[in-house]
Amino acid sequence: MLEFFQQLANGLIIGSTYALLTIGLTMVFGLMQILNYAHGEFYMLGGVVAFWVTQALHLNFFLSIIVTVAICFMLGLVFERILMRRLYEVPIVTTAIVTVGLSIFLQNSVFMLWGNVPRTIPTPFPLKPLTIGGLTFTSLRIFVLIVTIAVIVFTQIIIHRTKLGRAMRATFQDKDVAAMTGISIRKIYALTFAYGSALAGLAGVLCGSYLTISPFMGSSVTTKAWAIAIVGGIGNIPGAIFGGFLLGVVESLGAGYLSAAYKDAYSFIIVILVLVFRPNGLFSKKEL
Amino acid sequence: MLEIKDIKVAYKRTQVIYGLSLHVDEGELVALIGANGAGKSTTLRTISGLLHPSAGSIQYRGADIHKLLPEQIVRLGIAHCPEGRRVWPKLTVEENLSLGGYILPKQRVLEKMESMYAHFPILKDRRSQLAGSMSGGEQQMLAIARTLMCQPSFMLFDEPSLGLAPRIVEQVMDIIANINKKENVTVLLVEQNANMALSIADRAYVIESGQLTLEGKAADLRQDDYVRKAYLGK
Ligand SMILES: Nc1ncnc2c1ncn2[C@@H]1O[C@H](COP(=O)(O)OP(=O)(O)OP(=O)(O)O)[C@@H](O)[C@H]1O
Ligand SMILES: [Mg+2]
Repeated sequence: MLEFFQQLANGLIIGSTYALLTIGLTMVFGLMQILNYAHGEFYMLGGVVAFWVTQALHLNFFLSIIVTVAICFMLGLVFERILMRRLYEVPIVTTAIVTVGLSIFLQNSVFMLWGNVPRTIPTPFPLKPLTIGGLTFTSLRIFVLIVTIAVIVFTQIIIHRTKLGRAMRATFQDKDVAAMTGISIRKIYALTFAYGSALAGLAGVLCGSYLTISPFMGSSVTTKAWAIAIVGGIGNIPGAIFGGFLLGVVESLGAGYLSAAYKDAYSFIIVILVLVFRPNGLFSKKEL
Repeated sequence: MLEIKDIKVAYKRTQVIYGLSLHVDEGELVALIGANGAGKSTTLRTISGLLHPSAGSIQYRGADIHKLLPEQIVRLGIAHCPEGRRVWPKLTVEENLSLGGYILPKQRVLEKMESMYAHFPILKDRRSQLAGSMSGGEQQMLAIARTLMCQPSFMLFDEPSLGLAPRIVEQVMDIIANINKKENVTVLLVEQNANMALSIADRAYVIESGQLTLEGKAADLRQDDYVRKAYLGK
């Protein structure tokens, strides 16, 4: 039984980073109809930038997180400005092709500049695990869980309690009317894309502190985020959060009780089941 | 106040408006009537900046506005109450209203909201209900109130009577006439319900297949043989 709870807890921790990763993807698709295949590259950039910041600028781990998230937000604004903005009125397939291109470009640029040596972001957390109620965790993983949950709550507060969030929801539901009441749709799009990129970057730093960072780590993450977005219902943020935790737990339990070798396959089994039984996702309506 | 000169408007490749000119003077209530697909909504959408004319110009208080974005046009005081109500279904009544005053400072929004609640008591009772769960008539009231929130000096109404019971239609027309007469808001009203529109309008235009075919005082058009046959069903 203890084994079960341990796997469950591990799954929730991984799942929280999945949720973080998927929020941006699902918002960008829901709002702007862009199939962003480069989303995982922002996750990768988060890891790479944080590593670089801790090494070259000698910032400590916590500061490096803040700096990295800010940089990813800014990169999001830049890419929105030079690329995404051109994709708002084009067919969805085109957006997929262009973002696949962006993904290849970013992967190989980082590969050229940085090489392909797997690295890990150094953290000040002790390696010795903590024991809480019979379950063992590293303090780093607990830190990851706290940060992701705080950011998810923060995101919900922005969306549901602020004027900006209200404007985002209105744009989501009817963008023409939103524009006619004075909301700048361009600004909402740019901020949404940048925010999603920043969240992906944050997930990258957090995962990069206990997994390894490499220029190509984003691809599998993009696929997984899509799987989660589909499970949750594309364009639905509560769905993305729930789906993230669900897939984290399923993977963890699957790896613990069945076979760790097929860890990534379990998510896709869930996707197939959802597509068969609830083709629009668990939370089927578009909803911020 | 508003002067449209010979605009042509197209969606992608299909042209819909073929050289349309009209003007609305300060304080007037002008009706634009025409059949399905004549181009009424397209004209309003072009005024409020959702579409841009491929030729011609639109001037508001003497300045060209046809290249501006919707969020700039509403800041000039032009507000558009769209066809089919288009309230945000998953926002509450209060959130809908508050976003209607998006361009105003917070304090002003609260004041405006109170005055809307005074004008439309039904909205006050429903303030925390999701807009999508209200009846068609209530949604139309909300759509009008939301458009009024930004303190416009010029309002565009697109078929506010669509899908409403006759009694509610009369109520809506009274509200629009009041907005025009009492609050001094200039109005351009698009309607298929020509009878209703002509009963409250000062002047009217008739649009057919993207071009104006008639214009005149509302009272005169009601006597016009062609209008009576084609639009008033007499
Ligand atoms: N988004 C669009 N894309 C392509 N064509 C459109 C679009 N919207 C409208 N049209 C076409 O433009 C023409 C004018 O449409 P519009 O909506 O302006 O008519 P309307 O006078 O408002 O009609 P109704 O009384 O039915 O609302 C129609 O032929 C319509 O099919
Ligand atoms: Mg119309």
